[in-house]
Amino acid sequence: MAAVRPADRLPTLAESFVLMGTVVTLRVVGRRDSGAMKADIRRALALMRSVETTLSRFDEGSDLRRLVAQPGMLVPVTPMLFHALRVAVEVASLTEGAFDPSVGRIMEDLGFDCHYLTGRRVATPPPVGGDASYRDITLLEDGLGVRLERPMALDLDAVAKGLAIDLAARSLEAWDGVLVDAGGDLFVSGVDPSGDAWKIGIEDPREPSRLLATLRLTGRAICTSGGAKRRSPTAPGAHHLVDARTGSPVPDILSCTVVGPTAMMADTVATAAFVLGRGRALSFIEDVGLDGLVVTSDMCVEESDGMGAWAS
Amino acid sequence: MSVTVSGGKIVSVEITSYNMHYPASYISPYMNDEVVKKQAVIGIYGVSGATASSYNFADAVYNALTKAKA
Repeated sequence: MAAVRPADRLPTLAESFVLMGTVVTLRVVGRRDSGAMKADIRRALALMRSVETTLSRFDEGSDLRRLVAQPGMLVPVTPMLFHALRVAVEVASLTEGAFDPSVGRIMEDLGFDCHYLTGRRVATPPPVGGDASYRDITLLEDGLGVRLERPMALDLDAVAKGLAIDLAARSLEAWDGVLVDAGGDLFVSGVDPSGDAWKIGIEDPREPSRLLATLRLTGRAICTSGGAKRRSPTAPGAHHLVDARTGSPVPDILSCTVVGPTAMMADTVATAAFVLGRGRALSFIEDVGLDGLVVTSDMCVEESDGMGAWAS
Repeated sequence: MSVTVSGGKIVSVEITSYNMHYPASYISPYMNDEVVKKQAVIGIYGVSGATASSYNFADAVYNALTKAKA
């Protein structure tokens, strides 16, 4: 693999932060001064933080927690929460409930109940009369109101990280090149420091020290959902990617990677495809018009017809 | 960043100073193995599905190697 030659490199600045439970790297490429780069990166970071603050299921002050605390009530919500919920409910409907934003209590049962910064635990009381589902979320477009028809714990992580990535990338779009990487979910635009489209690898979940493929991307997000790195502390062998209809982690897929026009779409679809299981994952990605790659637990790699177009 | 090259390959990586917003201990236990394994890191700016910490140091490794060649 050829190294980038120093003579080719455009000025670039990258900064990394701990955010949303992972390491986020913001990288900009351009010929303006580094002070402007730094200021813009900080503004993008602030946008990402605002998504975390609004949509966190761990933060008692978040808009999401405020909504969850008022089941049965029509609650005015911010456009950000409304938008994220609408996307999550639409994808839940497309997957007939395999993906479901009301999966929060199942996450808690699996031990994913601890704020990554404070260590504070969340505990939703057991539901009366069975678990709620996305069908119990009523979205009222007029006035951006939401009513949770039954008590539930919402988990919008799959949507929120992508939304944060997209907002950061959009805020930086005036630069020649932008890369936003949130723990392996990325959006890239413009050019890399060599002046080319960005070269991005896809990790092989069977052997994380290897790459399955490398792609050349610009103006695209690439997001991967996989169970290997978030293991349940309470259920041996279980991970965090759960079919909400059964409450059980999906066993027959190791990872789903999706390439799409936005990170919110790519990340949500990658998660939804994963929880649909091997029989539906790839066709679901293709049905929604995206490209992707699925690694199954029996070590097969299946990819959409369009993935070849991105190959490096 | 200190990178040791032997026989044309990276054999170890060590953080010698840093200005991150989190402790070096957050990543240092993993970084050496990750970078040594992923010697193709240079020229790739991100890895989807990867542990982010190793690739955040791609530039540092690149700079260290450039100095080593000089």
